[in-house]
Amino acid sequence: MLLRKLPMAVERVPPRLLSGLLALAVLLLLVGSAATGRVTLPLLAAMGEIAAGQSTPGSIILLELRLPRALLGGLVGASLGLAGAAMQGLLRNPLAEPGVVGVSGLAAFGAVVAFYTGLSARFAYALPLGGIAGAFAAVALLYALAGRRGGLLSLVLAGMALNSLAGALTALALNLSPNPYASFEIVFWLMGSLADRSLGMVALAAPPMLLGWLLLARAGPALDALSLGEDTARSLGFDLGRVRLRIIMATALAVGAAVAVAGVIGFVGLVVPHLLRPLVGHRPGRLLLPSALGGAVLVLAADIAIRLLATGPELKLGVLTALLGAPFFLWLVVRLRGEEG
Amino acid sequence: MARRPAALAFLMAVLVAATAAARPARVVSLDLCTDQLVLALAEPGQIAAVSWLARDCTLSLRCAQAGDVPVHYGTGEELVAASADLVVVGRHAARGAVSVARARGLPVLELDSPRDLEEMRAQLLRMGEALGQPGKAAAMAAELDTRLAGLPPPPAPAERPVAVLYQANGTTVGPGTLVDAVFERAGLANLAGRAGSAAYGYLPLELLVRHAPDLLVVEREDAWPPSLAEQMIRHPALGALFGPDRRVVVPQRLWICGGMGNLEAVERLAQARHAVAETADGR
Amino acid sequence: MRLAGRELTVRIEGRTLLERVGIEAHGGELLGLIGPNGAGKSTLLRVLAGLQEAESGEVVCDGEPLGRLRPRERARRIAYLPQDGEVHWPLQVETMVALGRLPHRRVWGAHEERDRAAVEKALVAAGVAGLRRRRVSTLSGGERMRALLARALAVEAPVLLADEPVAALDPYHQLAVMELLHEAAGRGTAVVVVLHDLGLAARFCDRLVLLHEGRLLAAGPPEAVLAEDKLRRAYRVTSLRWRHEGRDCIVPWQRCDGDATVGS
Repeated sequence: MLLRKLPMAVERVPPRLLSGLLALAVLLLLVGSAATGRVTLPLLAAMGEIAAGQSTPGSIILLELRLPRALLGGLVGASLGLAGAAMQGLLRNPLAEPGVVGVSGLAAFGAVVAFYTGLSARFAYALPLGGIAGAFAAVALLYALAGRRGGLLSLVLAGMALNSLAGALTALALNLSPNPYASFEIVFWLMGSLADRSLGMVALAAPPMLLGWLLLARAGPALDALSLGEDTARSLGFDLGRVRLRIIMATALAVGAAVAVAGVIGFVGLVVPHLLRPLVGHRPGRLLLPSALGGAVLVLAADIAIRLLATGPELKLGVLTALLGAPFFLWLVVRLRGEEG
Repeated sequence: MARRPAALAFLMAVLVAATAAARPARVVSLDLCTDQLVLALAEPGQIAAVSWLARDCTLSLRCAQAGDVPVHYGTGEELVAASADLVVVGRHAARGAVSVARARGLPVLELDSPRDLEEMRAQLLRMGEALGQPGKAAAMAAELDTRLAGLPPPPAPAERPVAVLYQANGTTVGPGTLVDAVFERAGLANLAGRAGSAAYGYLPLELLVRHAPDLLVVEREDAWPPSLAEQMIRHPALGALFGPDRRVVVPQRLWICGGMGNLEAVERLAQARHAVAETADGR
Repeated sequence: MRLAGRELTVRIEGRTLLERVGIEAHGGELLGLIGPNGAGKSTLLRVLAGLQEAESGEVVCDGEPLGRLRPRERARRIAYLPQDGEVHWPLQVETMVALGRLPHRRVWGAHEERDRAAVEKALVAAGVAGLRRRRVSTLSGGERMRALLARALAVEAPVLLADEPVAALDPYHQLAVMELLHEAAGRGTAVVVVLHDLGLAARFCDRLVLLHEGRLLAAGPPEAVLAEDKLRRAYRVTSLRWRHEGRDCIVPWQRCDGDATVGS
């Protein structure tokens, strides 16, 4: 039982105020992301040039480099935050996070296969579809292994196994590639990055992510009901088979597409929902929107930070989120274990 | 029947070899760059083994030829098995195999990476000597001199278009390298040198767009086999800035090592410089 | 309101859990479901709640087969309180009770006045209005069960099914919860409750259904169902019984196998 006392934080900020504040932060960080980079860019002038249809270095940097990076930061962050909150609600387990339990890892494997076999060079959508297929397989497998009655431990163990498997498969696929650079690129797939993405990538990844969000938008009441267990949720009028399928599909769409263009960025879906949960009175349904916004805030902020920190080739984004998230995860495990025992 | 002329040539080669003094008969080359020189200068019968990279056509100018000779993977035991009588190697390659060769008292010829065309020419001659093929080496050096002399002279430093070699993962190549020397001889100013970066530097995409050099040099443009590292070179931001007239492909195999390929690289770049200068005049 | 199961048979992996069991619950009546461990009480309750498919037979709710109702509609008619009463997040009591209004939610709908009133009524009825800001995870066993019951009451369904709501409670809270269920029946709800405590069954229920090995052994008023021979057969116990304030009182006294009494 994950019950007993959790620290009393600020109790229930009005939901609209919370989401409004987070949305405001997302907007500011989007602008901040567009303003940060190797080159000091006069933003307004560059925007003027874009509006006038001029192709200058400034306008190219803003439109082709900074804009896709900022947009993907927001989209990927929101997808990860949302998927984390949804998985935790479905599995009723605060440790369920796409990166921790191997969903992102298998998504990366799917994307790696699509990319390095050259499939995505011929058919661009193969990249997100590969990611989505990997993520779907992982969520479905996890649910089968540790979904219904599984405690904390079985989920974490199943996730650990999936993660190792995904890492090994990814390394294998990269080693089999005839391109000499490929085997070094496991760092990108395992640690994620938003550097030098293009608007084309945004166009590829955004539709499946948005579809995933849409599927989750109405899952709130079902997740609330699930906090009383599956029987009670069904007795409250929810068709759990459909709810499960919807959440698994949505998570796969959002996480798969995000990983396909940005690699694995871990712990976002763990840290963000956990920090926001007390603010929404621990209701899993109420947690969805703030978690999406909070995920965008975290990823955008981390992505700005690595650009401000880095010298030489950039630090990978997933390195920073893991440095923040892994100790947090450990702390959570220790605390939850205390409550279980 | 088609084999007969080849057999005849082989017989003659053996006769010639017998007359030449101290011509090594079992040469093992340990790295890609010495492979190229050995394949260019030695008689086929002299070559005991070259490295497996010599068969990779993206890196090796003589990949087809390397298909006909044995290859090794740079281990000491392969070296011993090949019963070499001369080992040639780059200064920093295959150190394990080199120490095996020294321990067995084999003659080892070590060559540095050439930093310009003159060093490259000198190495050609030196390898010719070592392989007992000085005549062949001298002929190649003469061809090099003639073709270089035939190129139009480079413009004055201030008038040179700025170019940059943009490699996988955004790395560039600056002063003190063969690539820089090729740029110089083709009449191009290297952005990597100007930005003050070291010989092998990292140039973020944003900075490349901001500097907007006149000419973008890439080593390949096809997307196969795919990698993220090379996908960067095809980023739309570069497409917007560098049209086909401001982009030139110099395959890696032309200048990854010193050799006659460098000449072709110079010629390609000189031609591209000419095209850029004309476009600039036309505006 | 009338909830009736007819000829219900449930088999899982070749094991027969229920065989041709019939049951009827009426509005305003507290119906006790009794029987020894493994008799099929919880299974029968889950079938009545629409959570478990019966292999044959059907459950009819006010003339309509349960299987033909949409899940939402079924949820508005039948409230169900499971045995373990899990609550996975440290929700506040009021929030948890409000989940009982989910079958009545509208798309995107916030809690409306009617919902608020229903939650309030349920909190007061279950005697947990004073605990509304407490986290469910911090409640004692008795408080927790009353809060869970408030959640079920908040559905305001004409049928309430409760699976062993008093099993883990001390006598004070057992009485409190049974009184609550009795009051709910008094307000017109059809209440079906699974009980282990024969004394409470005799004391509070209007009618009893006794299950034994998946079959219906007896159904009717407590005096009839709790007859000595039936208890011997179903539970293999003898009992002490007397009358107090016009009702039967009963205490299981001694184990017995067949007709022979075990022990002294």
